[in-house]
Amino acid sequence: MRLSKYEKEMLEGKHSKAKQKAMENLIKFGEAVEAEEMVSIVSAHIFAPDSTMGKIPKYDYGTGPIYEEFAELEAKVSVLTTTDPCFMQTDKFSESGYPWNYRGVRFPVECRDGMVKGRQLLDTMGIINTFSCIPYLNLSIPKLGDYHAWCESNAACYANSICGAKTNRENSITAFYAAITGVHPKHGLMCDENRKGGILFELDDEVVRNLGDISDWNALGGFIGMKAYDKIPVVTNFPKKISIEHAKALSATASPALHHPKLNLVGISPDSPTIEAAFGGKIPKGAEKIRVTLNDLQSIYEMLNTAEDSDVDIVAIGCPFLNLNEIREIATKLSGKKMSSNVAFWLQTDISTYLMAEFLGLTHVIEKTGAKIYHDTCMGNGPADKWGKVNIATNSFKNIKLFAGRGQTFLFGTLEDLVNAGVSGKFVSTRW
Amino acid sequence: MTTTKTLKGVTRSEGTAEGEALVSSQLISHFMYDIENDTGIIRMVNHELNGKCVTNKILVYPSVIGPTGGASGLFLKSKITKVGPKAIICRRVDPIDIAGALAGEIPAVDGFREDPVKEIETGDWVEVKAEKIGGEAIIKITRKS
Repeated sequence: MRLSKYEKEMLEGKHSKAKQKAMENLIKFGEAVEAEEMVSIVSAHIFAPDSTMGKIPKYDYGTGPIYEEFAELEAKVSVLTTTDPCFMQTDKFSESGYPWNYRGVRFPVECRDGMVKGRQLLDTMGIINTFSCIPYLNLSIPKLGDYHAWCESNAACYANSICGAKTNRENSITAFYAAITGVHPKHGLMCDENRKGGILFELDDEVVRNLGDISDWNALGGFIGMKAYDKIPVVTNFPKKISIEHAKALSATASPALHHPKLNLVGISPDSPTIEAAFGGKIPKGAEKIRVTLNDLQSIYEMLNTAEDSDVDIVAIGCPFLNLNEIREIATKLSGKKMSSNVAFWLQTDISTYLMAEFLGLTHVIEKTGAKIYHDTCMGNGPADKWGKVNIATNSFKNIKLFAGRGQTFLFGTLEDLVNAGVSGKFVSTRW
Repeated sequence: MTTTKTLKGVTRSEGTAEGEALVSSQLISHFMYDIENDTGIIRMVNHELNGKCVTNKILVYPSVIGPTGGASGLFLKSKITKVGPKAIICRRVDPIDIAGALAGEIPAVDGFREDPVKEIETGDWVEVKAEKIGGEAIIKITRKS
């Protein structure tokens, strides 16, 4: 690999032991992925620390020993570094009815203690413990042409597709080394030649007219992602404008469906003003073209409904995390209602959004109904495999795909359907 | 009767290892909820290897699925809790698993002319010699019949 003067100095240990060690590891990785050089990153987004820091490995991501090794070397991050959601909201560890304490299934107390220790460890390295999957909406907002090393797939897809920044859904290890050094081997979507479209999707006018609820954008992204898989989809006849919430929903479908987190949305993505540009210059001969119809969207709704009956145990909203606009909308819909005692109604967000919602009185409105709103964690981090058979109603394609291997069954619907399910305990789809 | 064959691939993480093959035609995630960190048992409902243990196996699979935390999951199981596979062989080792194998100090190999998922069967004895990242890796497969 070609290295700059500063990169060579890091490798020679002229800057710190931590940077030297991280560079050695990054170079090995770079050689393995056949990178020719490093890129200088604007920010890193890394995995949260382990919950037990090795005491009970069952509940660890595996990041703990690596973070501890570098903390011992007195590592400091070189760039803005944020963290992905963790296992629990530690201040409500003992409260029941949350993903970390549901149906009598709790994390051991060592998990909370480990989280607290891990948080301190990261803090000493200069890492900001955002515990958020939407860094791009607050604090770490990507700009056109930036390089980032982000381990969160929905965030990577938003950065690539909406902002025109360049990041892979980077792995949980080298994203951390990149935080220390400020550089990462240039590979995957960091290279322009890998950012070109490979398959064309044309939305029917009827699809464009009818795209409404967050769940529709999930169905659209799911359909495109599953058809495109390892090719980058070019999407044409796309709506002229897209809200932040819809862009977030669409980007989030990429991680479980698409191999590379990037959608070339013609007229929206900065590198895709035209179809030709979205394909990197000209449309390749024989490029596959798929017309997307309303029936296709409906088929995704059907595919995502895996429950055998309509009794709802959990309603989960906020994958990716909700922004304040969404919390406000949900609070308005919930206001004055009462949740069924059979249903755990969960709203997920990050701490900055939660605190603002609290300041504005929205969390009070939500919790008065029996619903719960929490921060720092999500259902996907809970020990769901121990919950037994549960029907989960959601509007998140990613949620369903993430849990596909863990035995839960799902009901997929609009926000209105989810609120009604929370109140009645029964899910009735009104979309089609 | 014993038959042997040799495949040549590309080293993505270096090392030598030998052991019994465990082959999956489906994608694999090394994330902590997908393969347990304390037992090495695969917990992916509907997966053909659900309930099987990867410990000390030469794990053969097409490529990765699941969270980017598969990297640290593979590292933890390989190096810390010692319940991971001895080596991984893929059609394409995804960067997520390359990072996990490098940190876990186990060999990772891909880039074969043949399809390793078809050439290797569960129960085969597999020797992996992968000496230099980016260089040639040699896989020797021994099958008893």
